[in-house]
Amino acid sequence: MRYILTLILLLMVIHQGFAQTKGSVHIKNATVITVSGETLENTDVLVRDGVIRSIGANLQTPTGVSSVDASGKFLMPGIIDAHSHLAVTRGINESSHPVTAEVSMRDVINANDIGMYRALAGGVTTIHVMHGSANVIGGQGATIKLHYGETAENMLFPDAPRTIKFALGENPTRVHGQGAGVQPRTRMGVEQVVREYFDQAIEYRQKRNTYLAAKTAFDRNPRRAQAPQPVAKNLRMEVLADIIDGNILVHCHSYRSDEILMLMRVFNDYGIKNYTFQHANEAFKVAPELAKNGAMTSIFSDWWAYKFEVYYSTAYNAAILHNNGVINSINSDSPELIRHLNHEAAKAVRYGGISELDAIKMITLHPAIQLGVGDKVGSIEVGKQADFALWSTNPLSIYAIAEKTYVDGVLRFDRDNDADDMRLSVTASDSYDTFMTEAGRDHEACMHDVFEFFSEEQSANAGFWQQFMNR
Amino acid sequence: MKYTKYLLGLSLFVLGAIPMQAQTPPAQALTNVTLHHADGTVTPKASIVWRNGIIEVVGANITVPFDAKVTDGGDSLHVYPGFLDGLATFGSPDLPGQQPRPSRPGEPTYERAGIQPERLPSAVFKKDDAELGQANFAGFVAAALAPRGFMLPGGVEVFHINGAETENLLFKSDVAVVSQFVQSRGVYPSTLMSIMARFRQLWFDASALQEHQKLYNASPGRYDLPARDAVLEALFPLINKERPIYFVADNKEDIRRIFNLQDELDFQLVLVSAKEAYAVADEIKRRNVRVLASVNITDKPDWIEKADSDTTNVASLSAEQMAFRESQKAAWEAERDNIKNLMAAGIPVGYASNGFKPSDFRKKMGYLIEGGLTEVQLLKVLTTNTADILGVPSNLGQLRSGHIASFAVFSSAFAEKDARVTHLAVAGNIKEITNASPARRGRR
Repeated sequence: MRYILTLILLLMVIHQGFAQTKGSVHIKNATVITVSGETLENTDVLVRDGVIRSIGANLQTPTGVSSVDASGKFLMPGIIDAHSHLAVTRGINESSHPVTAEVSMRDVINANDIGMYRALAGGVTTIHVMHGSANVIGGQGATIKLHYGETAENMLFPDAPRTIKFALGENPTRVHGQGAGVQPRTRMGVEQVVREYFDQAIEYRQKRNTYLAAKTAFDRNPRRAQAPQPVAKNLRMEVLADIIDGNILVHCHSYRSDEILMLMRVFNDYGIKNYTFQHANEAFKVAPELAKNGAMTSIFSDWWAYKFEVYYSTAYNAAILHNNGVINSINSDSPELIRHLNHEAAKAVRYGGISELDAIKMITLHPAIQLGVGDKVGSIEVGKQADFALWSTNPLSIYAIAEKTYVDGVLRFDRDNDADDMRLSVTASDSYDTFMTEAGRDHEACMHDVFEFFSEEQSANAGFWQQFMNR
Repeated sequence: MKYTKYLLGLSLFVLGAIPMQAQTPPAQALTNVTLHHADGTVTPKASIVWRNGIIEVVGANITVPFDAKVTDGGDSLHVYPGFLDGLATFGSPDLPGQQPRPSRPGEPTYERAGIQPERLPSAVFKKDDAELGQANFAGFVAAALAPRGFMLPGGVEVFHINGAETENLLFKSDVAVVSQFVQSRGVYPSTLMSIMARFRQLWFDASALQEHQKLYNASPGRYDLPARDAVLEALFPLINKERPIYFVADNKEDIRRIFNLQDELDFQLVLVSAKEAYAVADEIKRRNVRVLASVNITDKPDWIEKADSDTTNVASLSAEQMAFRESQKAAWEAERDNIKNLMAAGIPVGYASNGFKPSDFRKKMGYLIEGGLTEVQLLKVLTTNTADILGVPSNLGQLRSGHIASFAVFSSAFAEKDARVTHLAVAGNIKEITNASPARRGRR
């Protein structure tokens, strides 16, 4: 009996460690943009314990569940940002080495970042927290739900696949080639870094697996077998080998079509599938090739010309990719842009004339698919997680305002209850003024921390470095 | 009263000048003083007798040995167990200044990366550190020292603290290894996330090396010759749970990160500094983690100090600014009450300066008392609790027969505002502490 009690207590502790808060709510009489099906007018959505239980007209409100009159309002799945650097503490780029697959944003989630609350106010419910773009193979990402007010552990999206950041082109060649005099100095070098490290990882995994098998045999029968000489676990190589084995989704910072084609060739050589090109401003040039390889894209709607490799671009990128059958999303990579990704999606309707529904998919279901959570969020369907926002009008309207944002059925943003200062953490040494000025548009971008990393030696020619934009 | 103190100083001076002739050194006795024990017991009109660095007998109505050199405390002095510092950087070499970036910043040497668990304070001691004198001035008699540094700055050793002589007063080695989320600039690991990864990788590398060395030593002909690696070998006792890691962190998120590492790698943990530990007290208790807490509380915000007289200013504040003040006040009070709340949760709390200047100790101590920490609680933190955590409870931290004669003599009860240390005994050597001497040394 005592053992059973201990086991129950242990399970409770374990469960508590990963528990996310879940809520129940009855949204009444909304225009429901389901995304996966038709948009339904005068429709109720009933959520119990964080899950959408029923969708229909005139549903009964269960006892103890609060209801919200959404007459005249639009209910849209929570926006998912496939490219964010919000909620990270002390370093987005580990710029010291061109391959840092072993580092993970999961270790450095800043649960107090008020940027998350501001994103919730824009109807965002899930973000993909990424390593920066300084390295050819950067760190692992963290897909988090914006449970603002919970611990970092409780924000991690349960069962979301692991992801990792790759980066091509000017950033890694500038940081490592020009900055540190190590490979890669050119785009050719970028390709070789990927290939060399993949080859090392294959060799490592073979050696490590051989060791582990021999160790298991020895542990089972120490008299017969000889203890094998240890092969240390190598975190960097483990992650790279997991990429090759298809256990980690690659999200690759890229701009030019030639480098996009290059990485697809490399990935085909190593059998890697199910990956997404981030930014990908020239993806429209190779849209058929992307579609053929099943590669996806996550782009800005109309943002370019901030450095040389991003001059050739077009606001029609999203529409061209979509029309060629590429699963495309629109991301922010910015603590400011994330607050109005609905406007960014609307631009894809304006430039290229895709349907409103297809534009909304680019900020909901498509990024969910790219993060491997398309079966859980990204649309309003029975059985899916209750991540959605209630908008004052059609979310693609410039006048639309997110009024309430729910994550797992929990109301995380409510315009009717929105105090001026929503910081979670004020320290004794904080000042009122810094809070008001932090988190501007370029505050947490892809190349964040890189200048600081190099500043010791290069403060003398800081102008050289600062002429480059951050992305 | 004043006369008594001068007399005491003079007699101690004379005592020190007498050359040692007998084989057994004579006892020394300090009589007619008030003793304060860490458990709160106060014994007036008491004496303390010590010989050869060890307390022989202590209390009221004791018999002072015939050979003892007796000093009369004059019924006005208060004797406390000497304070202990659970982690200090006294005597440490300074951090390296601007260092050139190596040709491959992603693969720096251990030293350049700040990974130096093998580095011991006894090996790198800088004896002219003014803080050693300042620590004595504040009543500290012993400290666990570690060098300043980065991610893994070095090992921990306990020293008696006695100014410039400290170098030769090593008391206990192999106490712990320090770790912290501090990166060495310009090389890997340069971020918090890579410190986490590097920590894990070092653990895996050290585990494999230890296993390899064991196999080779058992059957030399069957295995490749294993490497010798002083850095990784310094981690073996941590992996084997023979020594704890003294992990320095303040905010609750960092403390949770340490817990994550502990869950993954399984090590003995002592938290150091831990200013927001109160926020994760339940988890600290569940893990049986002990805390060497900081008293380096943020200075009280000006507006709180002036709160009563500053009414005109308040009227001009917006509602949002007022709300900010409330949050800031709550944060300051939480920081101040950290030790009190940890103790209330039943967590063993000792003290660590960890870079905090001993000369500021009494100011910050005032905040603790203001927040409701009692003198007895504070004394426990500074003596027995720290001694327990350092693994020296039978040697230091108590006025007790058999313990080391390291005690502090105060002009009045130590928590009183004007109390000051008049004399300090360090491992049996008693010296007078004057107002001027430590401060002058500090400015030099």
